[in-house]
Amino acid sequence: MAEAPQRSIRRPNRWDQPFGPDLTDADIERILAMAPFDGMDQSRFAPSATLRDIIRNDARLLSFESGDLIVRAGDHGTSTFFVMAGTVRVVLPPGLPNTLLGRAQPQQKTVWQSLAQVWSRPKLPEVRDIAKLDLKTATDTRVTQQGETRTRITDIDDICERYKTVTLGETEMFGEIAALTRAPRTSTIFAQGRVELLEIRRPGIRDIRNRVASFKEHIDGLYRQRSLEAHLRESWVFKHLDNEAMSRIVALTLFETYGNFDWQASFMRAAEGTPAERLEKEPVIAREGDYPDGLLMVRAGFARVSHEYDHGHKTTSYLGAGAVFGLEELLHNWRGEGEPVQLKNSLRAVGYSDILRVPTHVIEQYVLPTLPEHRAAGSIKPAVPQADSQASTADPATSDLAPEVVEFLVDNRYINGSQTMLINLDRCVRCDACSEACAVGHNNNPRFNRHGRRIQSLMVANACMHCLDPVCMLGCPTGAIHRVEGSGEVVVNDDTCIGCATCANNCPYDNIRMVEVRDAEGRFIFDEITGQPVVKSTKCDLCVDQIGGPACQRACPHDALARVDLSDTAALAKWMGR
Amino acid sequence: MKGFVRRRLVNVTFAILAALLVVVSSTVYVTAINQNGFLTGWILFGLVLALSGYRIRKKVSTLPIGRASSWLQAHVYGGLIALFAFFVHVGWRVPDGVFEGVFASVFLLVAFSGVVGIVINRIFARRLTRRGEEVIFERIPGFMVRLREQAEEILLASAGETGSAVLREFYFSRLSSFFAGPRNWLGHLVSSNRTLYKLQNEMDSLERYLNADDRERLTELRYLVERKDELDFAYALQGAMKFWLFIHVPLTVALLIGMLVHTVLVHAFSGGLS
Repeated sequence: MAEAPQRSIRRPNRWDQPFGPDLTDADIERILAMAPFDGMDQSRFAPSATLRDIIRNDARLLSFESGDLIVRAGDHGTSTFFVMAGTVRVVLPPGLPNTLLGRAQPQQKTVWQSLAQVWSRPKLPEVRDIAKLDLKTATDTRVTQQGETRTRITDIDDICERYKTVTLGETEMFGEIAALTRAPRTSTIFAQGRVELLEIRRPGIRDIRNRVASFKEHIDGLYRQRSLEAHLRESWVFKHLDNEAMSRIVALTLFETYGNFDWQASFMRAAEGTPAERLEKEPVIAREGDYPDGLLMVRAGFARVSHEYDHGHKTTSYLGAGAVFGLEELLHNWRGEGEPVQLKNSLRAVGYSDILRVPTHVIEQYVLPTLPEHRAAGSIKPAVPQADSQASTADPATSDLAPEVVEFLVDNRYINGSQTMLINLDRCVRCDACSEACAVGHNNNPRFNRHGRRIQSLMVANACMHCLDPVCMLGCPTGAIHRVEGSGEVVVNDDTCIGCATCANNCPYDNIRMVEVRDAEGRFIFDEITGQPVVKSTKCDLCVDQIGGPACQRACPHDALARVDLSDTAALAKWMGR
Repeated sequence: MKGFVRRRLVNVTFAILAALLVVVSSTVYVTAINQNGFLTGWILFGLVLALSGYRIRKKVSTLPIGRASSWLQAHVYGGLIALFAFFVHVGWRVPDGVFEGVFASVFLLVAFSGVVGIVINRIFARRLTRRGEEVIFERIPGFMVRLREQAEEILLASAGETGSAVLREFYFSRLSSFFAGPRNWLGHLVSSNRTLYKLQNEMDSLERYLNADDRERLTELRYLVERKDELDFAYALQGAMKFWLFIHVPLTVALLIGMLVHTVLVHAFSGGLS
């Protein structure tokens, strides 16, 4: 039989899609002539990725008018900015009020308002108050000729007078820590006068950091100075240490990044293939059988803990921010009881992982002797891993979850969810009380689908999971999608959403829906300039304005539905094992 | 002990204690005042009113008045206590008056439909889950229409290309009614695959009369028949899980009306304490 012709495609390359419109050679020369780029030794870069290539493909020039917001405190961003011309203002804490940033602070409904929702909601879907949509706020949104949306603060003199600000001028840099650590931006920054900025996306900044010692020193120094201690203290392993020990640990900790920072873009592709192929795509952070050269702490992102099992790998747990790996082996070896052991599991980046590696000698000197008694007394199993052994470093509760459930949650990246809607299909009688309750609380519009991927009798419904790594928040031009201050729910401010669908396209779980809105009479509302229907982004807001919390969960008569933080494996195991 | 087991134990214990309380208080009341039925009647009245409150709770889902699941537990065990109180109230005998008989029957039907509803929910939810991917109930008719259209397209293609009388006759005699709407409702409820099995057998026996193209079409039809059977299964079970409420709720309304009439009549003709 004739063989089918082989299908081949050109392998995608890193710079197939440059960050912005092509920079001209003159632009690149101008950038390279400016600090800090003029002081970088270009010979340190690989021929396949020179500094010039990085600037050409990972950077773009942006211009802002006076008052334009450049970054907002609390936004998630993946790029760093350099001031090319002009000055920008950094608003110092406590920062600007939410209304100026395109956000809304949800107001909880009163008992009467909650009750009135039963009869006062519109009959038609997605009805909006047209007067509210037309509302002019202290900010003003416009679209530039390049198609970029800019939000402008209208009265910057007043802002500068009322709030504490500092000025950054030419060649100064901002946003590097948030970009490299995927942490929320800490300050709001706006243009003072006409400003030209160079924006470099994370892979470019990462490469520059890796190649230019002074740049690395600068960035790492900033990170060590501002954030590292706080990150380490998130873990119980370091929480109890005194300041002197902490400062030594901070000075000796290494930072590593694994995987693809923009994992959401390739998530569906990564989910294809056999389990072995999927595992192959996940970068190895630490390999089973290797010497434990340090304690690994996940600073951001997620990691899979697995061990060899016959001809495959069994995932026994997953780690999120603040979790540590390798402590049990380090503890055993330090005690010197029996033969030294190697790592009993492998650790792989799921999507991407930022790792803090605290070298073994540092852990042995500062951490292990001071571990609280009950922590240090944990059972150590130094034997060669058995085929069915559980992860030594995993939360013990994870072992209560069936392995196929763990694999399912990791493979589909559901581990990102902090309020994932889980439905036990053995108990769910398909009565849709959850959907009805959701509709009552949202003007007759259910904000989720009682449908989703399943494993055994467990369904992960299509409802916003209020992710730990909220990729939907990347790139929102008006700041409409944001976390609620304090409680942390991811919500969309309907008034400032411009319907660009950036959030919906970013969400790898398809949990954000774009809808065309209507007026009270049921007629679609159109944009007066483009003539196009006005579109809004909608998603589960966890009933943030309802007095009783998520209505879906409270409305389920059969205890079949729960909003579960999947980083809390103990809670998940308990819920599943009821 | 697992969460649901513990909850069930607590609830059963509470229900038994409540039932005992009904018996003891009724006995004491009858002994002290010598007027049978008044106390248990009013207990029943209160219980039925409270049980009806569950319906209101479901409507006002945004108010923080407790989880619906807690209300359902109270509803179920309260219903069982009410059933026991009913038997104490009627003195463990069959009512002999016409109104009493009808009224008692309505009460028992409400209780019976409730129990059946719980059993249906528990069993059918698991059966649906075991069957794998399922469709939301309201979308099932739409999917059925789509399957029928696909089946008709296959038939039209056959008529246009091979003019097979066998396929056409089989479709009109056996499949057109099968694809026309939900079928085999009762069979699916009792886990019978007879309809599907019969159709599959009949399709197998047709193969020998068809040419290669129509055999392929028959395979496609067989696939559509299986998909339609899946939809029928989901429609039957999901429908049953909704349908029992159409008996339970209207009967409850009738019961509430009857209860009011009964209370007025009893007090009007009681003639005071003996």
